[in-house]
Amino acid sequence: MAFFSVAFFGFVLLFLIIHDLVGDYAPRYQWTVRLAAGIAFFTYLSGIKIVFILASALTVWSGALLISQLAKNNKISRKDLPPEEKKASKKKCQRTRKLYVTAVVVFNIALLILVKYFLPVADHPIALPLGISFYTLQAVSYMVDVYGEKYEPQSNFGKILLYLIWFPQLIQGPINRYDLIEKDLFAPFKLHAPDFRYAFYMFLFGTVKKYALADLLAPAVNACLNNNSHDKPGAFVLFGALLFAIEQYADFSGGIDMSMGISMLFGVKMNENFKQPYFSTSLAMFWRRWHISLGSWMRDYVFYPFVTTKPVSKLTKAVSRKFGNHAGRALTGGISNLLVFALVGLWHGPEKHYLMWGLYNGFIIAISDALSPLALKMNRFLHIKEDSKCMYCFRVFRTFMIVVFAGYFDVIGPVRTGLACFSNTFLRFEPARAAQLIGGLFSDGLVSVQSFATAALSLILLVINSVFKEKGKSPLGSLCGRRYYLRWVICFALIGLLLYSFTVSSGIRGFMYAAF
Amino acid sequence: MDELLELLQDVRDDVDFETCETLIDDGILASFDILQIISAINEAFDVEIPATSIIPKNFNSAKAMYAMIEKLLED
Repeated sequence: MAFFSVAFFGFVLLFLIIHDLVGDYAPRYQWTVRLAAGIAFFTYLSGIKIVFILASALTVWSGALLISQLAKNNKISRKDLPPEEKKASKKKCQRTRKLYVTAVVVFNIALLILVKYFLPVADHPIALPLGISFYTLQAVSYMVDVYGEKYEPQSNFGKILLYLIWFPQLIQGPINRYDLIEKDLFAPFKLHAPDFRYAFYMFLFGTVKKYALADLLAPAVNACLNNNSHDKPGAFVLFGALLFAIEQYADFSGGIDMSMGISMLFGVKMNENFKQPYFSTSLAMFWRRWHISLGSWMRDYVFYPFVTTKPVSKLTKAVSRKFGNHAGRALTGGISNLLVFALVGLWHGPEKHYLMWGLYNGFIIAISDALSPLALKMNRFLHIKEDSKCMYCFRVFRTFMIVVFAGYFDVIGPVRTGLACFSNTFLRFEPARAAQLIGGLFSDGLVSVQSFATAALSLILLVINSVFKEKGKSPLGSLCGRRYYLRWVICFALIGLLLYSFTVSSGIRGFMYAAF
Repeated sequence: MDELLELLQDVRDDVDFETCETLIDDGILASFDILQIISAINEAFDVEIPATSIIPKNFNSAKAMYAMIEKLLED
């Protein structure tokens, strides 16, 4: 069941009607309709593999209740103990809780690693349980948060299962946090016209990004980058990588917009996943604005715990004492960033090029952090104004190009080919030969002028939307408040663009991030 | 309190922890500083600061941090 298919629309419509009816007569149980939708969606696409998500839900549900109960019991029993014994009792309890939380986290991560990295390479490749890369991280975040006493555990197993199996998040995330989504997930909801409108616009704009932009660029990106040739002129590769940067953003953020829109129809506002990433002025900032839910997960559950471990904080202290505060931070922060991004890379897949891609990102962030005082001094020496418009544009462009080059390790595949393409970009640019090759794409019928023109139009819409959002405005929100004829004109224009894109498209593609 | 101040000076020797009451609100401490402070407090006072306590109010001044530690030691 693709996101844009008759079957999916039928599915959503059916559950939306049931959801609304139950909302009228038994609002307390409306969440069970959401749960049923999740289970139906999962079973339809992954069948018996639902046992994987049930296992995850069961372990975190029971584990969280157990560690919370342990803490409560201990609090009562140590109340009247003398101080020394109190401390010892608390410590012992903490150790037991830690043991349980570690066991549950290890079990879930091991399950993910097993099915994601080991089973598919066997003789009979199996499709992954739907959304396992996303819901596993959600399960871990819930468990660790309850351990850290961020919130009380949920006693209803069905509700924890719903948190993991909520269907709009299963295709490609976002990786929702329990405390940010629980209210919407379990509360009654009545769908009124303004909410419907906003959700519909969001979904529609997502489809334009995905089908009238990403999918139209995909054939050209594949032709430029997806072959194992070391002999491509640099300009040709760069052209492909630029298109890939647009395609990837449109594909991923478009898909997320569609998921968000569907989810909003059921009253569930999911966590934000993008914030105009291509306006970032540094790679670190880019990662706070791109796939936000993965970045913040890595920050909270890998980066923070890692830098606060005893050996790492000892290292920070020792280096700080000897070489100054900045050195200490830059060193351990750098090591932690390399670790986090290596994991982000491997999260995408076990292939070497993903690891390289992760390390490339981590390395650049680590180096720019380490050199930041030097850059500041240099700018002062050269009388460059830090907050000037020029500097802002330069930084945005620089960050964008760093991301484009990251694509060489992401999409090209074999690391050696990626490196060859990288060196060609700087040493063998050959624009004339590249122009010939690009012309060939058109004359061979791989891409058409119509599809490129349609993509260009969608891109313009996307850029306009992003510029407004960057300025703190909400174009979709303001569209909701316009007179109905204006809304319809814009909707029909978008639908027209979408339908036209299908006539010039070489075929609907799955979502890139669904593969992760 | 003296132990805490010493520990804080260890993390950042350019900040006046004794008087400043807006360490977080005024952006004096960066996120990395806070991480270091948390791990140093955990070690020195043998406590475990829970995620719920990692809020600006508890880290705006040395006094606030000390109150938080005392509360953690109490229960």
